[in-house]
Amino acid sequence: MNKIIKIVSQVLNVDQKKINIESNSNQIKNWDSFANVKIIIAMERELKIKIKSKDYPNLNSIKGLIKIFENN
Amino acid sequence: MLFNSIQYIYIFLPITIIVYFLLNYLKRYTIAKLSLIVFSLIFYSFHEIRFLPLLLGSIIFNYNIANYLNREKAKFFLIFGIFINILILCIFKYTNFVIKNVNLFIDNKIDFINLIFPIALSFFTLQQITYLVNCYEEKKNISNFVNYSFYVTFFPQLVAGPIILFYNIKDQFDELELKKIKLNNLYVGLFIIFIGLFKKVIIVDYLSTFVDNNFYNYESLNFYSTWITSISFTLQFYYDFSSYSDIAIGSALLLNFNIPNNFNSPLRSTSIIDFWQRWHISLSNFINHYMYIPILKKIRNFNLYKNFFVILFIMTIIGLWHGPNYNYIIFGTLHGIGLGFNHIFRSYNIKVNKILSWIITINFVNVTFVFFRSENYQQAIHILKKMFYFKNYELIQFSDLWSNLSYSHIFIIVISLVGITLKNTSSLRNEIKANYLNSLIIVFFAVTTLYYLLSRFGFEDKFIYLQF
Repeated sequence: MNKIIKIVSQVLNVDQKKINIESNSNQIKNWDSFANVKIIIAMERELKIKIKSKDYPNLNSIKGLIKIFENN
Repeated sequence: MLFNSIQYIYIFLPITIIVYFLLNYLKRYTIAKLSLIVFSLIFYSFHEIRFLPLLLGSIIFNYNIANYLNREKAKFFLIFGIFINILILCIFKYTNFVIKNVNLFIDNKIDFINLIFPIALSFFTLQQITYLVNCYEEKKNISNFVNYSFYVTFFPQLVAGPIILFYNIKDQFDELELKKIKLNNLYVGLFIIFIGLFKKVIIVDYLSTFVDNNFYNYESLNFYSTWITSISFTLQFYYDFSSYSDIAIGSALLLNFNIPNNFNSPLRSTSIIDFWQRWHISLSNFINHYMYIPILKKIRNFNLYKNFFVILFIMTIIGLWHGPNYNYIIFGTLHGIGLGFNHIFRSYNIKVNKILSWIITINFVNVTFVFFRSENYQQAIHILKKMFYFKNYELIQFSDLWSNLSYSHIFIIVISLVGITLKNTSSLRNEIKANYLNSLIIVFFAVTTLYYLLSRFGFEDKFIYLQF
């Protein structure tokens, strides 16, 4: 979870402390489709996973990103 | 058979529900599922029986292509499958558009081909492409033929969406709990259907007469009436399409199927990005998941400026997807530019007052919808000129607006406020409880819409999105 929060905070340029497991794209500014592509690329590179199109609906929250990681 | 017809609401839908749940009650689950496929094909045939072989052929073709996606040359079969789907769509949709444009440059004019566009083709093409991509990623065909046919043909979403993904519905096919009648789903489903029907037959039909008349006589409009007309069309378009989605979602719910929401109060949008997250959500998700992300992932060192051109390209294609008309291309391109700039502004943290953002967004959408509604771009430009190059004497007329406030103006203001402030169907869907007041609302909507449908029996107004 910490790795995912770190990735999201780097991509969105937001302090890590402001992101927790309940965070989602409605609460954090600039978490949009453009940021999601950056999150996908960063997660694939750093967590050595392959994110598929069926995972994309889960891209908009930390919980969803954790789910993507666990399913891979 | 239109959603806003007596045949659909009071004959087709009840018979379908009774047969489906009766077969399930007798534990004939597969036959029950097959019965829904047959009812869906009957529903389609009422629209255009001559294109039924095309629908069936498309299902068989795509399912067979999906069977090849577990092999070494899976990528070839995926590209081949997508290519054939798009080719068929292009042949039916754009052949005469291409001929028309080629004829501009040659002396020996090519004759137009007598092609009728098959209803639902745009939607089941996109939906089946998503399925092929899903199978390619899983390296196998992810469904049996019955479930796949059900997924493509399911009548609530077949003709004009919402575009559903296989993963939206796959867990609902064989869930035994969903094979029994659920009173809550029946209640909420009926509530949503009658809200949708009320929107269509009361609000939209009133607006469409006014809008059609004004767009037909567009040369006689002035500054003030062009604005009223364009705002009326924006409202008509929203209520029309959202009412269609309401009836689709409600119909599916009566059969215990949950299909995704398509609208989330788009009139409240405070940016163009926000607008596309609230308007035709299933198309936005398709664009995002099957065009935008894959393209951007392929671009090395992508940045905001490359992102701008990717969005511009995609939205232009999506504009063209709506139909063979330059107006749709302009509509898509304008939204591409709007979205691209919106991303850039966000990255620079440019802050704009929320009310000002809302005014800019709604006006941008309103202007682009003028292109969407006009017969050709000359007509759209003519109307927009009137909207933005007003003359002094028209300003004087504008100042008289309040003294000339008519019933139609109040109607437009009221339904605008309803669309902006009241709870939308997607939130109602999760909140509606069976009680006296809600039952009264259902009965009121059912009676008023039935009265209206009977008075216009056989002359139902078509939904705007059916033409795409």
